[in-house]
Amino acid sequence: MTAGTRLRRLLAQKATPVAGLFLAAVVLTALLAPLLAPYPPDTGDLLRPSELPSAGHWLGTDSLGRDVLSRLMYGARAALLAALVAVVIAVLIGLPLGLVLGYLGGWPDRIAMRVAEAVNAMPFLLVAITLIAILGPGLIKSMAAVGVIYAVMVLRLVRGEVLAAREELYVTGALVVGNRTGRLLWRHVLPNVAPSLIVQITAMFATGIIVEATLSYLGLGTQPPDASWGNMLADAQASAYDHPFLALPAGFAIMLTVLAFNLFGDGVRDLFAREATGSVLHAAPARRVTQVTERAGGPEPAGEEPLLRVRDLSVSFPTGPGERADVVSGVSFDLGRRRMLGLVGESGSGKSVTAMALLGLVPDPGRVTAATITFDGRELAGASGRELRRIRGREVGVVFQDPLKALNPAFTIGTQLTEPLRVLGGMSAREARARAVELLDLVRIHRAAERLGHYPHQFSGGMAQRVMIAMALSMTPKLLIADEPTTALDVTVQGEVLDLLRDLQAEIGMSVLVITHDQGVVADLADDLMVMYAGELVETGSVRRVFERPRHPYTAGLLASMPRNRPRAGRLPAIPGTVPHPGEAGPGCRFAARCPFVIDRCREAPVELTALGDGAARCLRVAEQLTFDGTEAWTAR
Amino acid sequence: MWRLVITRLCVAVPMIVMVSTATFFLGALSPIDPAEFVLGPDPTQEQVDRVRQEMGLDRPVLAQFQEWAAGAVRGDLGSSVFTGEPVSATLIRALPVTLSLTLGGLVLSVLLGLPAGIWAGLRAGRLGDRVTTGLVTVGQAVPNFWLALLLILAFAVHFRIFPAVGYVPISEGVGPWLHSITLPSIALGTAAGAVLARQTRSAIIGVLQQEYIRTALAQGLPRWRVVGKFGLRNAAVPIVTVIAFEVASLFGGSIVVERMFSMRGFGSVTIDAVLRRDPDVIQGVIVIAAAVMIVIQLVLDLSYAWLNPKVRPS
Ligand code: SF4
Repeated sequence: MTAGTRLRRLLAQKATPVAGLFLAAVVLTALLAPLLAPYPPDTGDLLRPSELPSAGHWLGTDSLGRDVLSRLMYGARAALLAALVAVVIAVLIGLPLGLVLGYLGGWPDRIAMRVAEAVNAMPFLLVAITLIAILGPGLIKSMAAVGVIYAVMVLRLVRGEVLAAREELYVTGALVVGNRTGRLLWRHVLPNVAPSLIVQITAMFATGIIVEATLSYLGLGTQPPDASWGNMLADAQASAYDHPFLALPAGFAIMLTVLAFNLFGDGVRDLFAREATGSVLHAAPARRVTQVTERAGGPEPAGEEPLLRVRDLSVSFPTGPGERADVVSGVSFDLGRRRMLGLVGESGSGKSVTAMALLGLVPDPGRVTAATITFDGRELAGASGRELRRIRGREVGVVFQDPLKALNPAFTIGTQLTEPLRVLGGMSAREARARAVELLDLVRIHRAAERLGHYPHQFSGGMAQRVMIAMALSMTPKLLIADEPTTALDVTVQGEVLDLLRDLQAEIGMSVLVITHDQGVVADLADDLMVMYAGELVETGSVRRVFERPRHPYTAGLLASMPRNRPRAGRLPAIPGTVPHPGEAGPGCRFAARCPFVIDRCREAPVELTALGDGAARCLRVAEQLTFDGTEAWTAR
Repeated sequence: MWRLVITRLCVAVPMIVMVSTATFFLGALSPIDPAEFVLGPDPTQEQVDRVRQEMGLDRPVLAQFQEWAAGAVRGDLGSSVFTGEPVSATLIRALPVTLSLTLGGLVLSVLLGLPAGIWAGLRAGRLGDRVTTGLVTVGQAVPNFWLALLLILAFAVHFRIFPAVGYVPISEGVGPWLHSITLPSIALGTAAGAVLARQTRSAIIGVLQQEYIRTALAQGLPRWRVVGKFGLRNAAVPIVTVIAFEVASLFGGSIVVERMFSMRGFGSVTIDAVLRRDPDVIQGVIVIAAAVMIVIQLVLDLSYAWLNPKVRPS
């Protein structure tokens, strides 16, 4: 992100500039208090005590007849000076110490962290007051004490960043040359620590203002007759019965200034890390739209009505204010009963989103449209969330990529397995438990009854994935969606999980949609194959046909990069480049930037999916029967 | 479970030793001489020497510490230079006041902050969330002692529903006790509730983005069930952390609020001790506060173990 876009973002937030202007006004008032204040702050007109606001005294007078507005202005000086002292001390001590500790590590670091922990666990105000007991009361001394406690927070923050940077440098291999480590870290850490440090500083300013007021109220900070918002409130307390108005000006001054600092800090934080609020909880079901493309991509199964028929499925996400880009565009396919369909593509091709869109599980700002999603004779496009929920679990089971993330760490797998059986299946606790044991047996987990009481972290990846499969199958669904079922697993257990999936499909007779970037998985399991690139289907057909005779250059490239197709030693040819971001592929063929066969015409207009009897392909040159023999096409580039 | 308690206590003892040692020696380093405070302005040198001898300040710091520590182990925390009262007696009298306010503030902040945070988190980015977040931001900016003053003005001076000053011990009845701590608890609990709401909201948002929430939805479970049974439990760990941290800050905050309501709690004891340089009292306050915080930490650890199976020793 450039400084320009940052500035624009900052101005786009309404609250931040207002807060900034307010703070600027407070700072100016504090600096210019001697010029601006209509009266001296500490001498009053004893003949005019406790007056309400008037033309002469805009905010009235206090019990000693002093002008409240003037005292408020001088109070701003005390508040800002106090916060500044604390913050400066915090940064001067915390920043270097954090850098050194993070860099050195070892026992100095451990001891310092224990101390920091102890300080943080104690009540802030109590620690501050104890330190003041040592240094003695007074504005500067007491805020110096506060600064020392703040320094502990800064230290922790900076140390954390140094450790993170170290880690990163080791990972990228930049840290092998030992002697320049210090400088390297320094260069690496400062830009990283700056955003969080700025946020931390605004927070320290905000709390510093409150702490100064508190300490002055208690008589430990600014000493009377000097004005501070805190001791103004102490005065207000003393005259609570005869002049309650006095409680308002200083209180509002504190509140508004603190509020401005906090809002400003939030604004700054937003610039660097925008809070992601989208959740799958609020996923909207697919909206129904009229069909634009005629032809189904997938092979048309003869006779029997397919289990799943999808036409023109698109998913878009917002990219900026009022702008959306498709991550999936116009996907159409059929999935026959008891068939296994593979959906392959690199990450970022939109394959997982496609599957989630079918179930209404695309997270919140995502928008799904389709001409039709017919599942077992029912229309899901335009269906309500409730109707979709009836399908989920009961008729469509899902296996996710990383079982240890997809299983809830805080519950036993027994709870997670039986919950839907009880809620959806209406089973009693005992029945559900018996069924859960059956399910674990089904996925070949031994000692099933005992393992129900275990938590996910007590399972290996492969075993956890079996649990995940058992969960997906618990209601005997008609369709199983397996989203990268083996990607997160150890190579040694991948085969076992695939075998299990194949056996279960044969046993249960369900249809399977398997999503993977690994064509090996498809070759082993699937009947039919769809290849996706940048949100579009680029080739479909039976697995055998596509593997023998790929028609799209991208498919050919994927196949060429499969280890089993390159028995001899040597580096695997990979397709150079990466998938373009949604909405950034240009008007023509989305693969053009990486295609060795690209011609000028490819870049001009969108390329349609062409049906070719036993499949379809989305390539202008498909009629030329391009040959992809050897992999020179890929290695040559 | 017991292993956890024992481990914690093993950490607690050195921690208290560390805290008291640090306070003692930092206090000894202080340029301020308690003797001068006892005597008032411009004492003669003989007077100062005599008082220092009486207070034991003329002996080496190490010996002073040894004596203090030996007493502390037996439960004798020394006595006040000014009133002569044993520190432990003063603190035992003051502690219930502060703990009552801490508890009242805590209950209130949880009642306010938890539902608000959950509600906002579930509606992240929508109008209800923005309004709640706005209120929370304002709530965080209100200093507790100012709120206390406003509450006194409104409900004690103007409407006379609650007392403006004084603490009624619970031994004199739960009703009067509650009556006396209501306003201070509101003053303390509001900002704490705002902090809790903010943290709860982000905990909820964080949990809702986890894959296991998607799994539960993919299983066909209704939304309320996914949130109510699974989501809240997962969000509980960060929320409990915030609450524990809050207890410490409420304990500190009650120092000020007590003052506003003229209650003789930990706060008044501490501040008087600081203003008069009463070394044993300051020392005692810190040690007892550290002990209280350690107990809270222990409760926190136990609830972690209950909430998060990974840390539970099997
Ligand atoms: S249309 Fe052109 S760029 Fe696209 S895959 Fe075919 S040959 Fe390559």
